[in-house]
Amino acid sequence: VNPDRHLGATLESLQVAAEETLMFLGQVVGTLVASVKHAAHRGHPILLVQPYTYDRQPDGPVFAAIDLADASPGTWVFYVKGREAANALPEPQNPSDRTIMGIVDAITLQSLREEDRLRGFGPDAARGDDTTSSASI
Amino acid sequence: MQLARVVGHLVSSHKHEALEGQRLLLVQPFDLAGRPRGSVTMAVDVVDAGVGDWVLVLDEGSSASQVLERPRGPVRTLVVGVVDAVHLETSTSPPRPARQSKQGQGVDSP
Repeated sequence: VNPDRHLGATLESLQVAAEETLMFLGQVVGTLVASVKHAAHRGHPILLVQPYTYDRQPDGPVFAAIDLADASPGTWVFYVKGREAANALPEPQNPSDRTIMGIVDAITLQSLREEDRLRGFGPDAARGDDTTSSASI
Repeated sequence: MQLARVVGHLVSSHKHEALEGQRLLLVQPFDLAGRPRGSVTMAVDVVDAGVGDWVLVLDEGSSASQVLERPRGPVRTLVVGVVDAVHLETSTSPPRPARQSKQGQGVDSP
């Protein structure tokens, strides 16, 4: 066994693209009415969602999503994408690629630098810190 | 799986039944050099991690369903471990004595 190859594989698996993670923050900005739609979507409203990063920056264009959380325009929500968006609906076979999973009451995003200071770590322990905001919706 | 740090949490009283009773954490992924990579994301906590903890984040649907012990549902991202230490041996570690050399790379003495 070549230890370098083994290490390479470990490194690769630890550094999977972080951009493809799955539960996202958004704000409902409108509704969409479709009188003709897939049978699996009947009874579920379709809402327009503006995606946001968790530090509250707009993150791409508005999209339509199936709503399972009784959200309305102005509501902050979290949603899932991909296969999990379809899994969220009761019907096993359905064509949803974005599904609103819940309503966001509050978000706390804390500064790692501050956290390290409280834990008594030196400034070096906080290197790479880029999250400094702390806020609630 | 990815190395990440817990940077916050998300409170939702009205959510999908698959998430009932689950803690929702915000995590910032890091690379092994200790630099943040990508943006903050949300993960379901199964190990009672807290803000500031280094954690291991699983991001795969079928594994997540096994950990949660339910049929595959809408959850893909989980915090599955609290990291105590990471030891990484790379080519940047102090060179050991080399007896032979091939294309500039040292070969360890036996």
